[in-house]
Amino acid sequence: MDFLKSQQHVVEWVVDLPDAEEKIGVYAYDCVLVDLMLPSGSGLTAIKLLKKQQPEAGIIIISAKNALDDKIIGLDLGADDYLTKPFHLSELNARLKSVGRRRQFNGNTEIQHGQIRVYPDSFEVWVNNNGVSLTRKEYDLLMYLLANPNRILTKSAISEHLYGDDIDQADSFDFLYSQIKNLRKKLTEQGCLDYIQTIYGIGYKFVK
Amino acid sequence: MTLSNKTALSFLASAFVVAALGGVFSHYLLMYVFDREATEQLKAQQAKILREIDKIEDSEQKWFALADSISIENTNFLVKESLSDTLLPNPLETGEMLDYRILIFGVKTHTGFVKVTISKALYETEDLVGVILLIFGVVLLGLIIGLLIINYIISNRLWRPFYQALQQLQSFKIQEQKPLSFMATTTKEFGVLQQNINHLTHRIWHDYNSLKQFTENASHEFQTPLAVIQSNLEQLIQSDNLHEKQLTKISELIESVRHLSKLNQTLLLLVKIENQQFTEMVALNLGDFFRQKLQFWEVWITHKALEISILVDKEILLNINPYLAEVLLNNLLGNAIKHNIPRGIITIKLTDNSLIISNTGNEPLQDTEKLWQRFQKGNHSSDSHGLGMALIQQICEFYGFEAQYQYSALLHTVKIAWK
Repeated sequence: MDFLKSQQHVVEWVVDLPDAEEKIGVYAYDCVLVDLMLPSGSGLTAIKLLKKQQPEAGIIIISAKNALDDKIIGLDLGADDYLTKPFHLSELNARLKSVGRRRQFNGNTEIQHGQIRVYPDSFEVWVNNNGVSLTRKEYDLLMYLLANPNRILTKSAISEHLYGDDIDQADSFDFLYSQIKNLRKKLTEQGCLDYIQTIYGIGYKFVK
Repeated sequence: MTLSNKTALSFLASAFVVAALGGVFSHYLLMYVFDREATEQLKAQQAKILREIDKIEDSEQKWFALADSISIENTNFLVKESLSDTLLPNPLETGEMLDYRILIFGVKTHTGFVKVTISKALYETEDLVGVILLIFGVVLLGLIIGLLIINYIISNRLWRPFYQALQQLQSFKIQEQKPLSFMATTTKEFGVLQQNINHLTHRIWHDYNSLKQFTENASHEFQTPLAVIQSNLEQLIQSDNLHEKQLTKISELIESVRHLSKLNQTLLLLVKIENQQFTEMVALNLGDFFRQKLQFWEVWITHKALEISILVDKEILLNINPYLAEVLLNNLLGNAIKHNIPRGIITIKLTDNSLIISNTGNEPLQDTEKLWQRFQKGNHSSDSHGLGMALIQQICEFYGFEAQYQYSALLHTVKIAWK
């Protein structure tokens, strides 16, 4: 809640299914986070209702169940994304932004951060009107940073976002370090200011 | 061997033993009876001759009227009585000898002493015994066949509830919780059996469900507080007025929470595999799956400058749960990459019935036997939770695969064999 408000979202929060059904009936939402295990029923019911009454609202499922069938059922019902607890808040932020982009602008959008402009639908990155060619992972990394400006991002949060959590941390930190270095180099080569601030031993911060 | 075949077989075996023993016994008994009969007949003829001796005049015809086969010979002394068996030529067929019993005795007539020889053929007896035994055998055989057929029909009908219960048990699946339906039976034992099976299956379902529920609850109940801790720590780390020391402490806490939740998830996964909660199966092309997974790991492979060779003998389709296959391959490949040395080698070999992954790497620090156990780490400094190998083994056990690890000539090799 606090986190979402701090990101300038207007947030409402309910703890059980009847309340959720009431809110869905009364207000229109841009995006709804649904925990699958609610005290009075499955979150899947809420998703069905949402799809019927507010088909334009984005839906992100949050669940402790990482069982595959729940995930598939949820996504089949029309949820946009699926997050397994515990997740990094910056991960939630990135997903929210991505869902928001897809929903509100039908993909017709550009992201501006200082001298950087990104067109997500064509995967193009521009710095001072010069195109920057990034590898897939470097692009993902940049998008993640853009979704979480002015926040300290721990190395584990970034590496989990980029590489999943199957790889050894030591290896992925090592790798992350070299990818940050490459991204930084590619951006500054085009005369971009260095927005990536290193916080020693902890992670990085994308500043303006 | 089925139950009815087994009973039929033991029935047949005992019938044959009884028939053989009975045959031998009746053969000797009959032989004995006929033997005594022959002697008695001779004795009776002798008694008749002795009774009638006075009426006999000295004429051959009179003698022959007294017995069937008789020969007389005049002697000048009283011949001693003797009984003996002898072979005499067959009167009908030359060259063949037949068994006879001969009684020789002397009588005193008014003309003097006479030696009387009476004989009785024994070969008739043997033929008779043979015929009797043949009849005995045929009747017995008929009886056995008849009994077998009756036994087959009865046991089929009698054991039907048992076979039906057996069939129900065979199709029993713990995940499909539909009650077993048994056919009605008046046999007490089968009734008890059905009752107990019902009781047991309900008990199993109950345990299975509560275990499953515990797994889910534990997963949920642990993950939620962990998520709260993690998100609060991540919020905390954003505060403006933190020293570097505080920042470091918080990030250490975040790492620990992350580690804990990963550990929890992996343990729960192990429990779920043990509970056989992954029943969905697809025929997976292992070669393709490997190539797909290699793409996923590509960034590390290039990062570590590893050389990968993949040898596929034949395109293999393996029936496996897709999620478990992913866990298995991720762990195998992850290990091979993680524990590799820079510019090392990974060889993946797929044959008809096995998968062999070998990679270069440092010598294992510990007993390789222990490697499969939980919380055994090859490298203590690493951040891994030490459950990867246990996961691999659990999945292999679940599918009846055989997993082996060996280290030789600087190569770590994991072999998984199926079939």
